[in-house]
Amino acid sequence: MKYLYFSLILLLIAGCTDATKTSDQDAAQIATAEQDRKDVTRNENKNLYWGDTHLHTNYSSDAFLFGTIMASPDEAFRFAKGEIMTYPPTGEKIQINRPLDFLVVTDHAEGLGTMLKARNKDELLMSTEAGRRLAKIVEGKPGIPMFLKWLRAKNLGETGLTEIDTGQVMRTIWEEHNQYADDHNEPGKFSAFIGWEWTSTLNGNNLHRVLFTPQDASVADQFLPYSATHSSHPEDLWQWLEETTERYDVELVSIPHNSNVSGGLMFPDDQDSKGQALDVSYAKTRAKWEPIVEITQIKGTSEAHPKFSPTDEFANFELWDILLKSNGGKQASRSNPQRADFVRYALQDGLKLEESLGENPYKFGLIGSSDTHTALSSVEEDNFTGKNLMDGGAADKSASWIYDIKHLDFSAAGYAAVWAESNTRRDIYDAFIRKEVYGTTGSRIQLRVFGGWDYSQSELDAPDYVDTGYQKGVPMGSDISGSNGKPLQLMIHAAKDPKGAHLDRIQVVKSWVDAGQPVEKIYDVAWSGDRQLNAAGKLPPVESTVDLKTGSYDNRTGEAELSVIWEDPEFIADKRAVYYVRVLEIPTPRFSTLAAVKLGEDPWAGADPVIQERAYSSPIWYTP
Amino acid sequence: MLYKLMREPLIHFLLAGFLLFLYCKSCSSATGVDDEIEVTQESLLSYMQYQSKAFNPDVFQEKFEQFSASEKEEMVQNYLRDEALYREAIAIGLDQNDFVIKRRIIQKMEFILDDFDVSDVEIEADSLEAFYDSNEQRYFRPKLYTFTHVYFNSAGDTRARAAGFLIQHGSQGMSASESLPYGDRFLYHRTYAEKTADFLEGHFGSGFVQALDGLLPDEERWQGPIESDHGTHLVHLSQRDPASVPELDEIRSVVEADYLSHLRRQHQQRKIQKIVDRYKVVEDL
Repeated sequence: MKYLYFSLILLLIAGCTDATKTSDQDAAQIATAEQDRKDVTRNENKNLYWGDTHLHTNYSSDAFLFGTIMASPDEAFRFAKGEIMTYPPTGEKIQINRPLDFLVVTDHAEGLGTMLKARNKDELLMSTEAGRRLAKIVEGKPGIPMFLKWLRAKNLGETGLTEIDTGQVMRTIWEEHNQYADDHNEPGKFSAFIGWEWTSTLNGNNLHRVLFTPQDASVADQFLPYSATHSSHPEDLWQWLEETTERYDVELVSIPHNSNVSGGLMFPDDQDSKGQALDVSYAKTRAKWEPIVEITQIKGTSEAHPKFSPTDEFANFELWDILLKSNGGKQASRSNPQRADFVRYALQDGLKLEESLGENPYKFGLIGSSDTHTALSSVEEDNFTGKNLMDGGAADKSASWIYDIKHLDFSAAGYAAVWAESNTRRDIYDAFIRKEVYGTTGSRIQLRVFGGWDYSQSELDAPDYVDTGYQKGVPMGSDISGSNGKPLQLMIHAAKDPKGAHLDRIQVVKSWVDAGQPVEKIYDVAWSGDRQLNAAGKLPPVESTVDLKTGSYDNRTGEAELSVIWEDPEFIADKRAVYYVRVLEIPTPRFSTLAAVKLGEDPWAGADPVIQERAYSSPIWYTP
Repeated sequence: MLYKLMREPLIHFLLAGFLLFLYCKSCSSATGVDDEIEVTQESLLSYMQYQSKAFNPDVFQEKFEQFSASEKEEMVQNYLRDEALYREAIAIGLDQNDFVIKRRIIQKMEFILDDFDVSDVEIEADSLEAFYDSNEQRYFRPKLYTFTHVYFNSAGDTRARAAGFLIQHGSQGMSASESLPYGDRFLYHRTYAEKTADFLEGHFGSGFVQALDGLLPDEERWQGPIESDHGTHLVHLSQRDPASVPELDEIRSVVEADYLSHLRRQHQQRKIQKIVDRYKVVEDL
């Protein structure tokens, strides 16, 4: 009798398990990313969508320690969609000026969610030695001292990250984290992506990447996020991507950021992070997994540096040089900028490497994103909620963050702009893969770039110029060849942020390799007003309308719209070249100035009082 | 996520183990350990999946078939070792006071209690309406405009060109896509679908939006001209949805889905409460 009872129970369990298995597998197959756009209207000429692919919530250890305790991915998605939230430190109501179209929550994979669990004394976590240690660290009030305590433990290897990152605790947390994105995804209205950050810091040098997938939790739950605990070498990350995407039929993209503080390691031109000479397989692998790079964010721009681009009068812009390491003193460790830290020189070295290796490892498109650790993606100068929950209020912005770093050293940047057929995970992700995306420093400048050989002015002026753009050429992010003796043309159209400042100018940044040496040239190709190029071929600056007393500006200078068909005057048909477009706004007050005005003070020293917000297009590559 | 749990061999093991444990306790046999271990391909596949923390039967089936004889033998040995140790551990009660096991079993229990079958539910009109009424703010929609426009910049004889377009095409129901080659290039979009006034003010200026409010939606007719910050426009206003909380009928399927998940949570909560209530609580704080 007892045996019978036991067998019956087992039979029941087996039966119900099998049934679930089958229906669940079907469900997983049906719930592919393609599926989510089936009822959504698609525009073959593409719509413009705005988003942020880089944001941290209380699932990130550092964000948590800086005080982002209450803000989970749920709050992050709600805020991005435009909901009114309560700003934790002050209890004020806050809201993004304009909602975003998509968001990737990319919490640090290292110890993902464990601070939160430790704080709540989660039984599962507390059953581990590492968990009990973490719980000790997070007792009391979050802030810099708690952060430093954690950092010390981490450096001593006392946080038990390895045990945590690979264990059963992580599986539960990862599934929770993914569920938020699935719950907030609304095909046609708002795309919520599953992602994370791989936070590799080799000797204080930033090699960080954010990763995301267009697929849902049923796919993402199968693996655990690859963290720097597994390896700090990007080559190992790519190897993991190779294996994981194959094994689980998952699509993933990896996006490097803050190359500006990589200590010359982000875009090497000689050897990889393990000291191996770069070869064709490195180039292919890298280009495959990293088709996009983040060029601007709260920790500054990574476009170029005055040290290497002395003739670019706009290169000295929102720079950031603070390394992620302590030198034991009271001051931050600052980087000695190297060419391999910046996007423009990577694009140049990519051409050089393509000549020597046969493949270009640095054929990437460009975006901006925030990297905010507040769960609140608002990088608007007049509504900047800050990097951490310590610099949201006006008075906080002039204060010191840590060591000699001030909150006003941060940059209220940036956003990712995407040309996609519809606002769905599938279409937006595909735009990233084909690089039809661009980055801005937070302003919503609209920018179209097409490369071709025989566009005409009347075609650009026509109301259906986008049709022509696609039909007779290629959009930003593409390759082009076949000149037939004609010089390359770029058909460029830029319109001001609908709620923002007028445009100052459009520039084309061209790079090529001459006798083994990279060459760059910046052309002013369209501008507002009747300014003339000076003898040095430079366009004089646009007049600033900013009133530093009131923090206001107006649009009496600049233009709402600039457009041009630019023909490369120095086109060399048998030389590779790479072109990207930079669009500058007229000067507007920087967030630090607006904060000072709010407090009735003069603009603070240590930061430019005005800023020329800008957009960076993804490049177009010419191959003979 | 709970469906997912159900697929996990760990759950199968734990549950089977737990039941086995209960059974052994109840029959109070001498050793309490079942001394027969059956090795089947299925059990090995489960084992492999649990080992690599990845669950995809087909992939592992393929992998298993590619194993050499020695690899298979090694797998069997590992499996036997784990299975025997596991059974001994259960027999001597090592699963007691283990929070990992406790948490997993609780999760399993929550899963079993989440047995609300939505296909069985007849949603009563009254209850749905009550749910909709008390959650109205969740469904609020701002005023939304859907239109296509033809734009004329201020160069040339704008008014005359606009009038010419109206005479030729104004009342013939020319579709949005057919109208694309007409007029001048506008700096933003030609077609706006379900956009808010705030959004449109950025693209056209507030005067344009006010003028738009003065028009009646009309599928056939091009209306205007109306002025924006940028120039002159003819508008094919196909829809203007007032700010509203949509009627229940309009969004019934959405409300029904919300209502069902609400019922489901309630149902699970009730079942959990029932279980909790069965216990006598002795407070000694």
